[in-house]
Amino acid sequence: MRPIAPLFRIAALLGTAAAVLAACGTAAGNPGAAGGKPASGGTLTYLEDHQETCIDPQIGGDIPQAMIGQQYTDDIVYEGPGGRIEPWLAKSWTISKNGLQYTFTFRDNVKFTDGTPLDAAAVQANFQRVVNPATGSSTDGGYIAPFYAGSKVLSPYVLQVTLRSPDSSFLDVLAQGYFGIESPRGFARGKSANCLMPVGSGPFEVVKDIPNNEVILDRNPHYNSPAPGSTHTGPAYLNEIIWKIVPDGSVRWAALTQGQANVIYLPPAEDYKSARADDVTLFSKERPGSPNSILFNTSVPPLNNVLVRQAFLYSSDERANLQSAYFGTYPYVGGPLVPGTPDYDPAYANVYGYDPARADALLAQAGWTGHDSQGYRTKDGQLLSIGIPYDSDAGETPPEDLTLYQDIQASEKAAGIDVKLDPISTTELDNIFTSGKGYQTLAGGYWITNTPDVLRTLYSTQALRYYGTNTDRYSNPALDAILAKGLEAQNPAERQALYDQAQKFVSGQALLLDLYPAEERLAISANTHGVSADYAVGLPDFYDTWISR
Amino acid sequence: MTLIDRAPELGRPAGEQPLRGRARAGWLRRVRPGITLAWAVVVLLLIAVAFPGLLARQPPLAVRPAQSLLPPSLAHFFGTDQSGRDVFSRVVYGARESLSIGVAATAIGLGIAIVLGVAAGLGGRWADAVISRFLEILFAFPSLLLALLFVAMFGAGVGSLIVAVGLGSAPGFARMIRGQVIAVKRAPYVEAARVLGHPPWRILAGSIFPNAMRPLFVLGTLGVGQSIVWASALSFLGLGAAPPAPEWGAMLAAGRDLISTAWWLEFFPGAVIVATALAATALGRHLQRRLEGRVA
Amino acid sequence: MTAAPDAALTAAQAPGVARRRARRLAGDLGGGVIVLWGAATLTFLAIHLMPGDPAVAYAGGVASHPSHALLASVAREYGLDRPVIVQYLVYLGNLLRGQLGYSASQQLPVSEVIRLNVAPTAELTLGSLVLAWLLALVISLLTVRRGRVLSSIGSGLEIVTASLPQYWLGIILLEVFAFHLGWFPATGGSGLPGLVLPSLTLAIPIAGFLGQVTREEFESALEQPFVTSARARGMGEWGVRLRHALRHAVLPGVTLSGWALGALISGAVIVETLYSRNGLGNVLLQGVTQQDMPLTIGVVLVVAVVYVMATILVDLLYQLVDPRLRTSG
Repeated sequence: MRPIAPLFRIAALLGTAAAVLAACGTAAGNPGAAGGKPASGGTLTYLEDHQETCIDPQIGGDIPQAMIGQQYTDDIVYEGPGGRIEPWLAKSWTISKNGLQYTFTFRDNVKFTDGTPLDAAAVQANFQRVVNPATGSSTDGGYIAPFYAGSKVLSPYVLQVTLRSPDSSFLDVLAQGYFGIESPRGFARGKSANCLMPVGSGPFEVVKDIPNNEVILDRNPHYNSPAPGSTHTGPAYLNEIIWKIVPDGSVRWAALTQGQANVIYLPPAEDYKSARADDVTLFSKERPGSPNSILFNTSVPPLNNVLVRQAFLYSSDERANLQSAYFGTYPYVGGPLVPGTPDYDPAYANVYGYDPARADALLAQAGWTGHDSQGYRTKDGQLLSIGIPYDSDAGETPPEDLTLYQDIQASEKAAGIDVKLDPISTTELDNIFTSGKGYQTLAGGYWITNTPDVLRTLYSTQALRYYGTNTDRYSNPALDAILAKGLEAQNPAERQALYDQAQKFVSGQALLLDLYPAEERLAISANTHGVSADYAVGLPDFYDTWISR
Repeated sequence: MTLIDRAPELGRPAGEQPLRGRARAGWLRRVRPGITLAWAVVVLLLIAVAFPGLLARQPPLAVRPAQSLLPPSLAHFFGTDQSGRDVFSRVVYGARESLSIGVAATAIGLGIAIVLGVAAGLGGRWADAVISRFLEILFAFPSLLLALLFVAMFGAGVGSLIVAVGLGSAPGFARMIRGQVIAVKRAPYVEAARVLGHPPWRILAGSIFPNAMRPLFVLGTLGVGQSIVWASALSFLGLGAAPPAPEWGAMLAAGRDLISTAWWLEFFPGAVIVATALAATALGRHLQRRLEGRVA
Repeated sequence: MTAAPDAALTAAQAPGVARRRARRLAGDLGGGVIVLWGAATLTFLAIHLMPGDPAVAYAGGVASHPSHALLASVAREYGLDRPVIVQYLVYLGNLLRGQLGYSASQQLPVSEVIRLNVAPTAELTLGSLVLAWLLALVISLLTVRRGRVLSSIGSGLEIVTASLPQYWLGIILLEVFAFHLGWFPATGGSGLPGLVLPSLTLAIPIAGFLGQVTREEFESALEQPFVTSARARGMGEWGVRLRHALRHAVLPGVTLSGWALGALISGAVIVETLYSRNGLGNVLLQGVTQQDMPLTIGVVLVVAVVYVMATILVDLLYQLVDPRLRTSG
């Protein structure tokens, strides 16, 4: 499974990720909806490939944490289709004219599963917690802390939040599953206790947690706060969810087909073709933003030369290699944005098709004309060698990724480029990224967000200096200018034109080798119905899920 | 009896019970066809190491995505992997990787063991006591854990792997060498040499060393087999060579996911590891028995 | 029953035996303590010999980005600004108090991580030991000295199984019995069905070793005079095997059980990963890949303690089983 790549998680600590989450929604599916009348009862077994030791998404803030958080918490607001923000825990709110004050009125009948009321003071405690650096909230803190000036409890269920500067994406951030509201009494138990058994107001509650192995969630019998868009009200149908960590994809698939699991995350690509025969429903949903890619460090040789970067892309044969490694189950994206991201332009999808002759010419132009005994290019005695570090943990780098890297390595060899694959630990990878040194490329990074402003998050000087999210170490005032204007543009046509320019720029500068779009991928057994995925980030939701006998 | 005497080395029970009379002869008779097979495996492996091109027609690193995951056939004896590489070639070239790791690790293990074993055997009561205790302490860690501890200290990678596996096997070897040195030290011919007034260094070099080191070849053979299995285990756990190196353990790890659809990826490299380990063990014990037959 | 005449001890010799046993136990315990002290010293050296700052190693490794505050508190806790000998004593003191440090990769105190993971590993390891013994004994009993063919099959089986790498065996068992035939669950799972395949994977190679050793002893035991005399008295073949030869045959195997436990614990690292079971093995592997020294060392030391205790127990058992040390028939 993929959390938001650890690299970027750390970076978000240092700044905000996106100013304008222009929430042009992406359609969420509702797989397995049909199948008769929902019946109460049953245990759902869900197999995931990876989970953090701490299942509280307010600490750190990965996709796996958010996925499990989605089951035991509710959010302040809800993001529906088309990016429309709707009431959830907050039944109404007002925004001051200057955009600096949000006054939320909360429902007065919601309780956490530990019995304490979910009131304005509780929500305030949540805000204070995520903006406090000691908490270590990379994602929530990263999005909220730069803007949050303070909050005031005006009455038991009314909270006024004051921002330092206007943030048109504030409500979108609150709608994401990372910021589920948790019980302050839970916080008082201390970080370790809350990491192990966090307390929320959601349709399920955590009753048992064996870190990195299994979490058991039981139905919350008092649940009365379903999100808009749910198909029923009241407590969940399921009695219990068994949330197990199984890093091996083939084991997850075998468990599913043998009836030991109801839903699994990231089914292996090679099993897709047998899904129908096995009576399994496959659910894939692309996550908008920047695709899973190999990013180039533009500040160190040899990739500091745009000609070398372009040559690398032309000789990677990425389309054919992706088709082979992933058995054709991923579409080839090609450009700097995933289709479905607002203002995505398909013109940049096929710029770097497989063209060894072009690559050859570019490399010659860049001066790499010598050859060593094995056929690798040299220049002034230097070997054209590029290292690709990747996470050695099989849960972070699935075997298909490894095949893909090796296939690309072989394609690059044909062009005379010596690619060295370097498996390193997750923690070492984080370290390299934070220090900004010691890498020529980094593999496996992606950024999920539903705005083209992701380009500013990844490639702007601002990101380099203040957010720490610019893995490419790329800085170009011309690109900065285009991205800044895009952020301010109100007119959709104007915005489209500006982001077109931005995509053209990034593509022309060959800042990334994109591998495939990040996707929410589930395989669901025939007897499990009503599994939904939220619109904001695409997290699976089991509130409406039921199991037929 | 100390802990050190209780841990077995490589399948021989503690207390070193030699085979008795009839059973021993029966053993030898039964084992002979096995020995021929073992020698055949070893020879094949050595060819694979020295002249891989003779056995494998296709390059082990040639990626051909269009030909990925083909089942075994005449063109590809062991099928192809996810990148379209010929598995048979990878196994053949992998012999070089795996065997060199095994040999290097055994060399390190034996090197350390010789130093410790000789020092304990010849160094007098105090040295013996200290070193024996030290070896006992090492024995408290199962070998794989000792290797893992080393990898935790110095990071993963082939170099780390070699030293780690060597360290893991050293205590077992050291104990055997110590025993051998002590036995030889007390042997009549050494006593005779001393009585005859030969200088100590000459006794050492002429009598003690050659006789004490005679079982080294056996230890080495058994050790290489064992080291290959351990090194593959560590590679399997992701602590070894980086892709695309055709190391057997890494190949097993990479093919794990596809076992249901492409069984050949797991079966053949594993079978080769088993064959290598079996051959090394069979040969080693055969040599051991021949040796016991010769030494009084 | 009568034991071999020269092995029987008279009643008069009994107190002497008891005293010898007690002394031996004390010796074992003393030796065990020394070994554990040595193990702790070794791990202390490990931290100080590895590249990098020991404070960082204690704090959980470079990549956990220990803050200055954390490094300072670690330095205080382990006395890192004092001379090495003081650090050593502080380290030992911490260990004795059960303070194993904090695991940055698991975000929990090491002792907590171990507590959460001991039971499944213990279950797996002990279950596998029992299974290994069962397998070894059954094969030996059935095939030793029962004719050329049977004996060859038996000993061949033992040699092959002893050479099977557990990771390969495990994958094959998983594929055949879990994925393909569906007889056992694919994920480790709790409960007996989930324990079968992992235990088999661990037990089979050990059974191979135990079998080989037991077989040799069995063969020689069956040649002993007391067996001949039992047969002469009309005892059946199975009676002879089970009542007389077995006790002799299992002796070296009992000795080996201490080693076997160590090998099983090593194997657990692989098997737990393969079968997605939680346990100390899995945890150790994570500690190693993340270079989380407090966790790695904590687990390694716990294993050493178990191993030493097991070896002492085994020696006790040996004395109980060894007919030469029995007091009367």
